[in-house]
Amino acid sequence: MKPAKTPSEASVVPTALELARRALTADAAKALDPLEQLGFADPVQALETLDRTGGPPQSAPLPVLALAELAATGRPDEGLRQLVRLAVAYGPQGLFSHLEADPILCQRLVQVVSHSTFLADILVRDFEFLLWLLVETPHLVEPLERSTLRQILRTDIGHVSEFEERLEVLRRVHRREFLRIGAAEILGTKPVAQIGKELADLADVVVEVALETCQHALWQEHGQPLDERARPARFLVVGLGKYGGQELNYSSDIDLIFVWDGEGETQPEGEGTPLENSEFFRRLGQRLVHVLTEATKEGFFYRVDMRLRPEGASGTLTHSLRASWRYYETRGELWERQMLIKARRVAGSRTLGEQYAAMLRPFIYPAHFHSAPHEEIRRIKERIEASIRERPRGENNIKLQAGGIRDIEFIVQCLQLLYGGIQPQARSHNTLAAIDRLAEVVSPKGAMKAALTAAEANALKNAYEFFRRVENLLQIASGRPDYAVPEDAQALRALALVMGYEDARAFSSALAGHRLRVRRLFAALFYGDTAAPRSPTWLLEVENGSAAAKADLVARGFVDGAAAHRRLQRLAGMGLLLSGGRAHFEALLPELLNSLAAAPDPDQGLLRFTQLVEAYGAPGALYSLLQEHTGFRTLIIAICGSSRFLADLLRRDPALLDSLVGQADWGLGSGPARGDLRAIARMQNKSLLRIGADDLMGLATEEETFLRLTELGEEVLQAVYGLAWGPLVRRWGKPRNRQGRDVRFAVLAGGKFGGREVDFGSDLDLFFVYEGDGKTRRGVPNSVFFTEFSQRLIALLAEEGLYSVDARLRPEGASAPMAISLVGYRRYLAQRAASWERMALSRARQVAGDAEFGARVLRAIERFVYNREVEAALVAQMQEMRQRMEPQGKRQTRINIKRGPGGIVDIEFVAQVLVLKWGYRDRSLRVGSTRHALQLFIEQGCLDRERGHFLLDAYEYLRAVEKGMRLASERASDALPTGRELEILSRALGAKDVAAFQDEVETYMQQTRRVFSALFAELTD
Amino acid sequence: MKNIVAFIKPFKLDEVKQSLAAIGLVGMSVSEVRGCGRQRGHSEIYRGAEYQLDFMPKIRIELAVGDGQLDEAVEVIMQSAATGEVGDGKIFVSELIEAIRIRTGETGENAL
Repeated sequence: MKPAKTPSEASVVPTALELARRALTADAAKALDPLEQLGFADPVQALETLDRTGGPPQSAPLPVLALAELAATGRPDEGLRQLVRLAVAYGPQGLFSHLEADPILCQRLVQVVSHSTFLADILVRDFEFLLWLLVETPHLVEPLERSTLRQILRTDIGHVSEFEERLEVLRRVHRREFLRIGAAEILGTKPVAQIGKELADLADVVVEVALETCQHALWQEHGQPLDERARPARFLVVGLGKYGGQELNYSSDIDLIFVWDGEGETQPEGEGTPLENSEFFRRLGQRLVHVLTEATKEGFFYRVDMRLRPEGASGTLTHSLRASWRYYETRGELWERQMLIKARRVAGSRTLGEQYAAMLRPFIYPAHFHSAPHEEIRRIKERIEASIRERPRGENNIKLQAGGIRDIEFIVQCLQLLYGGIQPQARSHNTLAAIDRLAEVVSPKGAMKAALTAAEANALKNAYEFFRRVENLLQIASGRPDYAVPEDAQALRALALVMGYEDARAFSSALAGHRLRVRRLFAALFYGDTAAPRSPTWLLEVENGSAAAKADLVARGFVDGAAAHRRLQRLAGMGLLLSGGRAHFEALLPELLNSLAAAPDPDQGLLRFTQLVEAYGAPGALYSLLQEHTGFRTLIIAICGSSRFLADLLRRDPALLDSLVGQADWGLGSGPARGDLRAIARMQNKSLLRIGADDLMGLATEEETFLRLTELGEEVLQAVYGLAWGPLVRRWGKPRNRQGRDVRFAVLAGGKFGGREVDFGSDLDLFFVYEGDGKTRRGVPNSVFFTEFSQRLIALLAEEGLYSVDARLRPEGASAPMAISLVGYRRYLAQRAASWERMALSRARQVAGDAEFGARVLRAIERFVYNREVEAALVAQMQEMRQRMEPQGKRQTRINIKRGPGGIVDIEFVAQVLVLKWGYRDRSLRVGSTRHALQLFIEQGCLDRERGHFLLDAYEYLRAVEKGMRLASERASDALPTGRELEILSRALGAKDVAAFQDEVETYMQQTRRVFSALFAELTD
Repeated sequence: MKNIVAFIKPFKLDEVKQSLAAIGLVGMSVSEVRGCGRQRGHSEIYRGAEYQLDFMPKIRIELAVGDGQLDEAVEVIMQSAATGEVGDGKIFVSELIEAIRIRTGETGENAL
């Protein structure tokens, strides 16, 4: 048979031959050039090596053909070095004259030694193998059946009975056959499937002889193990993995499991000590592993991996058939079913092998599944993927990389698990055979399609054969379990050439193509055609600091993936006092991550969620509730994901959660707690949470939210009022006028509180007016009493963080006494109040104290506000004041949505100036709320529709932005945040991205300012 | 001897445990429970019913005490588990017929 791969003879060989001739005949100086042209990386070194062939005088020089062939391998330097080494070992018989005489032999030998140092080593050591390999044995090209191999071995070993000697012969045969198979690999004389089978056959025969040898030795020491009915107890060696699948490679481990059957003990002859059968087989197993793995001067047979046995490395080495059954029946895991697909009897009792296979069948291939095997296998696969992604050298790994050998095996085994239950023909331990059968599998009635289409099966087979051949070539080159495609250009080219490709590029693109096709199939099978999101529970299976987990979480939208991973693990592991608590968390996890990822701030959201669960306790029960109740889950994740303000409330007082979602009583009630500031604070927090929750859940409009916050402010203020009043009266007595009548008092509100537009975290604008001068029963002047009372009110509101009060609306502003008498206030309004105060006071209303008296104060205020038309001077003053309010200097650089040009204040000013203008004549137009005022003026035709609606729209938008900022952070700032915070805010407001959001805000504000300026200009005309 | 079973709010567990430890009661079993049925005071139908729950998680603690310690134990649990809100939980007390320490065979209050 012609070698499958020959250098293209037509074009290259003549040139190479010519160059080779020149290199070998020219003198040293002239030989360098042709050597370099032949592809030698180091021609000087090559020349030196060539000189050494001139050593033994009788020996022929290196044939020209050999040098030309070396060039064709792509590794001429290495090939020449090995060839010369071989010639030296071969001695004066003259290796080169053989090569000269037999071009085929020459070509093959050059290829083998160029490509494999490992095989060259064997040839150097046992150079009598050389002619056997290249001339005598027909099996370099023809397939060798196991039975034939066994016969060959029996002939070699038949006469030897001594233990070590037998092993010696066995090692030699193993080496020789290994050489034969490896050479066939490089020469490409056998398909991948045949190579894998011959390697497995060789291992079978070795294990078989080794087992016999060990068994024989143990019998001599302890006698033969017999069962209770005096029949021989049986022993079985099971091969798994690539070995079990008869697709072995050159240097990975062989996976074995030992099984025995038949309780009893050994029957020693003569002086031997009897052993329990279990012990006998344990020793047999140990000895067999020792023989197979022992490194002697002759090398070793195989690395053996016994970790696939029941209970893994911690289990006993050998299991009885019954123990194995018990184990798989009760504790067998999905990965064990998958792994046992490959189980094959390789040596030992044939009948026990059949029993073992029959026992495993229902475990591996149950007719029905309890849970989705797809999902479970995916979890295993994800685990493996995660671990691969962390390997720094995984890049070129054809075994482990995505779309590589492991993926193909997974696809095939997964389909086998799925189809094998009802389609017995799918049960093959060999990957290529299984692919064929999966493409054939059809249900009797044609109801079920084949697991793989013909095209898919072809793609998988081609890829598998390609990868396995690459793997084999890499391993035969070094004798080590290599899986990495070389990065070095020359090595890559050599690999490409021996694979039959023209150059490295053609090879690399073929490799990439196979990977891609496998990857696609893999994705289609494991993730569904629609690339459904993968279950994130694998995140809980990988250890902390996992780079894969980090990357996954970053891809899900978390900025700090590592921290998110730590938090998830903390959540999963939190003292779960509820059985199945972890399962509840796993069930919750996908939804938790999805919702958080969609939240404005996933990172903080997860942190707050973790803190909340920690603070609340009973995580298991909480997870199960969250999982079951969509509304509850949405709410909690919304709170954690978008509101630091609300989440902090919950974290500080977890009892609020019960009030929020349970049916707690609202308000202060009439219980004994009424007088307690802390009870007021809790009531406020409960209400804030409820209002915030409804807002987040979209259960309340913006207007309703602000109104409820306003009402809450009133309720809190009135409760605190009650709390402050009693003690002060008890101490100083009630304030009275000169006639001895009680003096009344009113708390008035301006600003947003006055306009019923309070936001989260808003200040309350308050001022205080009392009825008239006089003294309390104990002689304290009323002015002192009410100033003290007002100050206490402010202090109490501040004490539990209820509200901060802005009292600058009072006459004379910040430096004046806190409370003023009505007479003094009237005088102030009549004589000293600035005309801009008309605007500020247009929103005044009474919020606590005596209602009737409050109404009197308000009448006085109204007279002041609406005592005359809006004159140009007022408008100018308002404009000037508006300008003063704008942020100055450095602060200007950030957009201030409240006080900046075109901010909320612009709209408020427009509303107020219109209220002053039109309210002068029409009482019904005297409105405090910005929104109501604008609506009213549009309806009444005082404001044209276009601008009116724009202002309403802008007001709503900017207030929503403001609310978003208040909910997201603790500080009440009016400046748009920057960086990450801006990003979070824009997401909270549903903007496409930061730029779009900023653009939107700026557009609204610029347009608002244009409307503002135009309207004010019209007023001064 | 009496057996005490108390259902408390989860975030009160540490407080309750500490208070019981302060009077020398350290052995108890703790588990999470999800009640079913309705929390008392369930009358108001609020518009936010979208996220209303019938029952929030509770922690169930169970401990056995000598007759002499019953009142104190109940008092301590009541104080430390109270939030003053609806759903603070309940305490159940029942007679305990016998207690036996498996290792030593001690019985009665000696076994507690």
